[in-house]
Amino acid sequence: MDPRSSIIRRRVSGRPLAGTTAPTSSLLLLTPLVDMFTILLVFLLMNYSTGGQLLYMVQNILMPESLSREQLEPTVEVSVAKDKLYVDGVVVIEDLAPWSKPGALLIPPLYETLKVKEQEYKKLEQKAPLFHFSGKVTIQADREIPFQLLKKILFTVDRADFPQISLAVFQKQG
Amino acid sequence: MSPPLGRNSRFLREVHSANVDLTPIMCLFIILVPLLLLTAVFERLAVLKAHLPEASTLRSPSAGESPSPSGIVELRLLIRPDGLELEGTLSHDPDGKEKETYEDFRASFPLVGDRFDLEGLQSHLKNLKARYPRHEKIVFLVEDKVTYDIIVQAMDACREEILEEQGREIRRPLFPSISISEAFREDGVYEGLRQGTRELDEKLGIQ
Repeated sequence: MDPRSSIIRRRVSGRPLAGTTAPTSSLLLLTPLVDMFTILLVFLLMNYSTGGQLLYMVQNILMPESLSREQLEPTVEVSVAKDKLYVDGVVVIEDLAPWSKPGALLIPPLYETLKVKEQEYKKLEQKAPLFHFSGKVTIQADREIPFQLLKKILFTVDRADFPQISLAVFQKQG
Repeated sequence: MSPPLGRNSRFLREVHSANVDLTPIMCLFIILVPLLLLTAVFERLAVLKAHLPEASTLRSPSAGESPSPSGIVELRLLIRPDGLELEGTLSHDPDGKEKETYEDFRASFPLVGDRFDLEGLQSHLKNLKARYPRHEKIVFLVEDKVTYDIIVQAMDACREEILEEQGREIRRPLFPSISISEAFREDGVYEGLRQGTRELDEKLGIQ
């Protein structure tokens, strides 16, 4: 038998020839790992976003899906979970249950927080001429909240001089 | 008998030289993959612009008042838990030059199974847009029990239609200027409109 063919067989099978010692180092097959990394890299590059997230993602809020492609802007954020209300990520109302019932449209704690922010922005506008306060607000609300509560939030936000309202949504594919 | 050493060692060298050195590309992957994982966005965000209605948009045109130049005096979408209703006042002349030729219309879109008939609503709006291409405003009158999700879906149906031509997505605006209001009540009581903020403003020291 040709000795070369036995060496080829040994290298293919990875087993040492009878009468020889086992190799101290073995070849690590990196090809499948490189394949996996390449697929992962392509997938991640497709999901890469240079814009970044311009929203405080509050827990327990599942926003509705929309076909809109309008981009988020950095604004004051009002986040409405099923039980809590936040402004710029800070809890303003611990329990929303009393506000989910019929009654007055104005929500005083939300009005006060927004009004303080509005006053701060207006002072900043006087100090920094390049800064312009436009009264923009983004509402990030859970998809299950009733209009009973939403209308109070919209009304209060408008009364606190934030008339440019944007509703944050998840982009629906297709 | 052992094979000639020279030929054999050359053969082994050839086998070894066939391996590509993957270390640099592995280093690159190990840096790039965590970096991209940190910056990956799996849920893309967007916004929908909404307005609150002006007081003048919620009343009917009085006699002698000049109609809207778009031809539609008022377009309203009533959103109820049991369906949608589109109503409005049209002028016969899309240019809005003729006076006192108003026509009220109403179209109902009841639930289909347990889903809102948004396709039916959108096809009706498309016909309306074809007749009155300059009109952009629509007022939503929403009942208290309707969820936020339904409002956003209705906004999607009213804002634009999405067409596909030669594999490309084309978005054609319908009525993108949406105002959200509460539905008219039979008793006509609107607490919010009467509610002042003077006390709160004084508390915060705002003039």
